[in-house]
Amino acid sequence: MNSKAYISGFIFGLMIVAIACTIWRIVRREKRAEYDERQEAIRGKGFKLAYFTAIIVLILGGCVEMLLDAAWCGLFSFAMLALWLSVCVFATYCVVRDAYFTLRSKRSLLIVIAFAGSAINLFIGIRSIAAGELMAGGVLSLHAVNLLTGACCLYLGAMMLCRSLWERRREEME
Amino acid sequence: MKNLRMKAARAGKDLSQQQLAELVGVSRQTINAIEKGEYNPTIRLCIAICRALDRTLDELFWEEAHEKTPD
Repeated sequence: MNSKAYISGFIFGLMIVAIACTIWRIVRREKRAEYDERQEAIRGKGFKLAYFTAIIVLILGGCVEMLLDAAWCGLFSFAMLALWLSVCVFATYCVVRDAYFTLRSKRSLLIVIAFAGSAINLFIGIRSIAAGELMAGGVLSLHAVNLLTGACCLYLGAMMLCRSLWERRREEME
Repeated sequence: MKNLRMKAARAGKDLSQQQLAELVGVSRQTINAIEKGEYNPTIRLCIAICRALDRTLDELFWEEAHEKTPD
C-alpha cells in the first residue's frame, strides 16, 4: 500500500467516524456532552497537561533527529505519536480524577469501542510487521501508526475498565 | 476542610450521595469531593445543594474563624 492510499484511507475513516458521531447525536438529540463544574475544571487542567506533553514530545523528537543526524520516524507517524501521547496524558488525568465520562455516558460502550479499536489496529499493525512494512528507508513508516493507535486504545480501554471496576467496588463498600 | 454539616444534612434527609448528585445535576464523585473538602463548589452549586437539602448557605457552607482547622 502506498502513502497516498494510506492517507486517503485514514481521512476517509475519520470522515466516517465524524459522520457516524454526528448522526448518533442527532438521533439521540444530544446537544453536547454534559460535565459538571468539577469535571470541567479537571478537564481544563487535563487539556493543559496534554498541550505541554505535545510540546515536549515535538521538541524531543526534533532533538533526537538532530542528534542522530537522520530521520528515525516518518512525519505522519511522528505527528500521530505526539497526538496519541497527548491523548493518553489527557485521558489518564481525567479518568483518574473522574472527569472523563459525562454524567450520562455509557461507560461499557466506550470501553468496548476502545477495545474494538485496539483489536482492529493491532491486527493491521501486526500484519504489516509480518509483511515487513513497518520500516521504510530506515525510518518508521506509516504502518507504525496502526500499532501505535492499537496500543493507545488498548491502554485507554484497560484504564477505563479498571476505573469502572474500582468505582463499582467503592460504591458497593459505601 | 471536610464538610461534615453537609454530610449530616444529607443523611438527615435520608439521601445517598448519588441521589443528592442527581437532584443537583452533578456526579456522585463531585458530592463526595465536596463532603471530603477536596473541591470548593461554585456559589451556583452551593445554592443548588442548599435548596435540595432545605438548608441555608450559612448552615452548610459558612465557616466561622474558629472552625478553620487543617484537614
